[in-house]
Amino acid sequence: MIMNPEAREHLSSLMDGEVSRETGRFLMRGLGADDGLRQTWARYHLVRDCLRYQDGQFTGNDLSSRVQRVLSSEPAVPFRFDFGRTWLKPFIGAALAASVALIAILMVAQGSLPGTASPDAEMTQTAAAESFTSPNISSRSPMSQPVSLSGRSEQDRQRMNAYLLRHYQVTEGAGGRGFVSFVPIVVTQAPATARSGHEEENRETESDPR
Amino acid sequence: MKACLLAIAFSCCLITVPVVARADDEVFQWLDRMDAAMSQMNYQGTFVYVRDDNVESMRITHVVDVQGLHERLVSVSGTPREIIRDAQGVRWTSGEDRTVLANFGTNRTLFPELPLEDSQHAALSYKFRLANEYRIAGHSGRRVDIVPKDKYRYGYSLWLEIQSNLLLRWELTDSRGQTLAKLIFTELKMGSEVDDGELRARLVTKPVDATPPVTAPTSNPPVPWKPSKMPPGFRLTSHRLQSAQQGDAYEHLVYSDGIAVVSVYIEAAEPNADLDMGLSKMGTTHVFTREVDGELITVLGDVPAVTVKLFGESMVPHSR
Repeated sequence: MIMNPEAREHLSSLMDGEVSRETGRFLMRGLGADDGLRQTWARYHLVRDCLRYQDGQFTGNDLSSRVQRVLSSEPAVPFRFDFGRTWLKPFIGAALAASVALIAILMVAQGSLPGTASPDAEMTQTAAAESFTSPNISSRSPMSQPVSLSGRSEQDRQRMNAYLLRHYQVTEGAGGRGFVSFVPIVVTQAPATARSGHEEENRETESDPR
Repeated sequence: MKACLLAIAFSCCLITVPVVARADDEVFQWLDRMDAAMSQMNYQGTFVYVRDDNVESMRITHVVDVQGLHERLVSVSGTPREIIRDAQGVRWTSGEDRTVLANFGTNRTLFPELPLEDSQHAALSYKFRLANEYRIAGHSGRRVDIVPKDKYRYGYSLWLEIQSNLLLRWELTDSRGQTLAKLIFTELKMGSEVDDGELRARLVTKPVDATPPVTAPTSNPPVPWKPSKMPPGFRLTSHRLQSAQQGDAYEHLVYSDGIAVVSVYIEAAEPNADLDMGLSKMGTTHVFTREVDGELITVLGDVPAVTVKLFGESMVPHSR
């Protein structure tokens, strides 16, 4: 088969892992069906291996052709409908998914260990011991009253102002959000605040994490 | 053959996890770069902040020089409001009576032990996604989605400028992905284009009745209160006691899941004080206030109502 330069370029990009998923799939299908493409692919690998391992330790032969030859030489297994195994398939899939999730959790948990020291070890243990359960959707929502600071007593307003200012200073440092942390405190002072803002908490659901 | 299939399946499992971890790492790199850009670069711009039916237009000027940070955040529409931040701390004027509230000491000196880069811990409570490029205010941006895994925290979508990693757009969403508030730059200048003249305070003109500067504690005081239960992923990240010499005496406990921050303030309850108790909301900030054993407990944060309520109702003396 005579390959056009574009196809060769795509194949080269595939080796470098620089093609999109769709192009990659297209090329892989081509590799499975087209001998010429497969030979070019093998030649590219050979060239790369020569460049990388100039002491002669390269794979040399066309691996994909050898795999295909081995598969062709295997005796064909006749298809047999096996109900017992077919119904097991979803469970096997679920078991695999569960094992992936378990491995992911274990890896994330391991990754979170270094550099996470807290000033209060006991509180950390308490938090770590919490089970990560989904909230109970059916329970009742807590209702909050939208208020503005201007609607509070002077004493309450001053107390809340100081709390908010200090809180947003903490937030700025925690999330790397910079000035964005202080935007709500500026907006909160707008008189219009008291008129709106109660839809969101109605959508939130209350639940006990334990 | 069966053994082969099992081996392939197990290999797929092993390959999938590092790919997911690499995707998260890429997002964390974007967030790290955003943190650096937001704190260290000079920028100036106008943005709109939209929440429910309210649209506020504001202007930010952020300059960093040898003296440190100089920042001015001012409302362009509505009642005049202004926040000035510099190396001394924060000064804030409310628009109604132009009262100046000051807090001297930056977050770094106030809470030095707070882990600023805690992406691994945040990954327990959020999923991170890197989305496609967009253009905002004439700049190309890349979107980062921080999606909460449960209903105890909000999600965030951040559009970051490709070259500088500055924030172009920010959205706060609930756990169902509904937008609660958004901030969009309509104009943004960087570097030498920034006009330093806009840093001059227009509203913070009155002398400030400054509280004494708060210094970092030499040792962590014992924590007198703790939550008997709290939302998963949250942990105590800071504890500070403000003494009466520094103003009103109170304990300040800070809990974080790596992204969201909840503050718990504990102070002696004054008899017959005119205070709003229970659950309330100011903008996107939920507040829960409760009196227990002669102590006034106030929990607040940009988190769902259920979260502040859970913290507030479960705070108990440490000895209990």
